[in-house]
Amino acid sequence: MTAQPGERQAASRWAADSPFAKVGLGAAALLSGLAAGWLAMGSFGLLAALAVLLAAANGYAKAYSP
Amino acid sequence: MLAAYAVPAAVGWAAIGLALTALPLSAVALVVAAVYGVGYGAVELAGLAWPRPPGRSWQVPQGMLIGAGRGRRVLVWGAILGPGLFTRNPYAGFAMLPLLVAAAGSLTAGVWLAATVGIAHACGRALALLRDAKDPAAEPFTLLLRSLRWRMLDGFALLVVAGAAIMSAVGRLG
Repeated sequence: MTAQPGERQAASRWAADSPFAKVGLGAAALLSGLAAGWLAMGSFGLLAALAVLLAAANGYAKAYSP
Repeated sequence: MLAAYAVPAAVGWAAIGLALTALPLSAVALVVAAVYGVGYGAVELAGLAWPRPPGRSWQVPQGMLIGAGRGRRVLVWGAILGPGLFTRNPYAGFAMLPLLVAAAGSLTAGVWLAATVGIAHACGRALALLRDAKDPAAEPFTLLLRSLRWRMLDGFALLVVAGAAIMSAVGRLG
């Protein structure tokens, strides 16, 4: 039996889908970037590493572009 | 196949790195990266359709591939999709990459970073295509749902980068 779209959507919901979770996780993401930047003491190496990771993930994710 | 994607991407992005770091844009690029990361990170997390991420809407025309041999197809796909500069990209994270390259601060670092970014993007793209070639194609609904998930992850990544860019800007300008 094939699941209906609504059922599939419900089954694949993330905890991060709720607005409160989005705000909380978004703030945590920004704070973790601030903390990492502080620990790196302004070194550009951190941003360079993030750029490479972002590029690799972006290339991979683009395959899902409808 | 990886080389067909990675080589054009490394060359194209190194040229961009050369152009961006030849200009005194480093400090401005850091500030713009921070503002852009916070803004588009919030937009992608909230799932808003507007403002759309900057970029092109062009797609590879089928005419360039119909009747072409496998080798030519790989070369065309690799040269166009590897660098990721010419085709539509639904994720705002891509436009962050030239900003971070421009923020490198020195010509050598900028060119190396840009080439590495290009290779990373090309390898990610090629690996996704290899994965798709092995697994059966996902149905459109699943594809759309995954695209939305990646957009949310892109939003988180943009916020992390924005935080690091803020601290880097404070260190450099303060």
